[in-house]
Amino acid sequence: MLFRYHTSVQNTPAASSIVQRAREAAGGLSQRDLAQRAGTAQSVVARIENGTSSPTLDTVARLLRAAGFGYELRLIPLSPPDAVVESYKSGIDRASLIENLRKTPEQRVRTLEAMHRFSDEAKRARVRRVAEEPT
Amino acid sequence: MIDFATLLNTLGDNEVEFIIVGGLAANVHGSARFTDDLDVVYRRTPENIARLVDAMRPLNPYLRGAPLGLPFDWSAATVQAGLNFTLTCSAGAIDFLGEIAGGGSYDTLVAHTSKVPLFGHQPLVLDLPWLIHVKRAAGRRKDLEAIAELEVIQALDRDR
Repeated sequence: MLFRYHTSVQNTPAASSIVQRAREAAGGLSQRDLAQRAGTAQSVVARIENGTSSPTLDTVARLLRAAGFGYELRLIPLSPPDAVVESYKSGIDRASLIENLRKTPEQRVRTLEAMHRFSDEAKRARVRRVAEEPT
Repeated sequence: MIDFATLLNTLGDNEVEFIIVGGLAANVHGSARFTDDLDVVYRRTPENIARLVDAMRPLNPYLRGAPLGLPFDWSAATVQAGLNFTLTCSAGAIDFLGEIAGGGSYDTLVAHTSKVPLFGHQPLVLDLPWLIHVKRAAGRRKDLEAIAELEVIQALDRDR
């Protein structure tokens, strides 16, 4: 089994969200409150939370500790490349994915809802056509 | 037809603690694949179960695929006694999951989520690496194509 050990939390969504969540779980600490407790500047916390800085694990741990939390690192087994998955990749329409990534998450969900409406309408039209066919 | 806005607003308005996983999480991350239900992992504390039950009651949840007329009591006691619920309701199909393969419970997964602005709320959505991880862990044949797409999205994201 292949194991990869992530020695850094740099640029991962977890680094920003876990600090923010620790503030909230500590009773709604402000970024400034947390920074003061950790002996750092509010801008350091802000940059971590908005994903523009690359905190070391020690920095994240210090902020979590200041909010009253510890943390746990776990090894996650990563599967080696799967031949079937790799073969599917060649057939994926990257242009439509790139277009999708330009949308906001809410726009993506609304597009999905529009697909649902279209699918439902197509089903209803099929039922109407069958009902109207002469027997 | 599924009304994601109604479902997410119903849960959000009632402060239910949940994480969006499955097809809608993939869609939020950029997937172009169709999904016909909403999968969420809910927190199994008594307080949250009570909020979940109260929130969903007006939407008349019922066991999906079960014959109409079967006795089904949507209550905190039912949710406490079970774990994963595959339901249909007036806003569409929704799965309430107490645990998922490879990811565990809400409390385990929550560190691997991001808040995403959707319909006036900021629900937690499982992040892309963990979404791929749990889909691999589920080991379902039908997920392989979805995993391929998510890995392509991950690569496109890195290149942006």
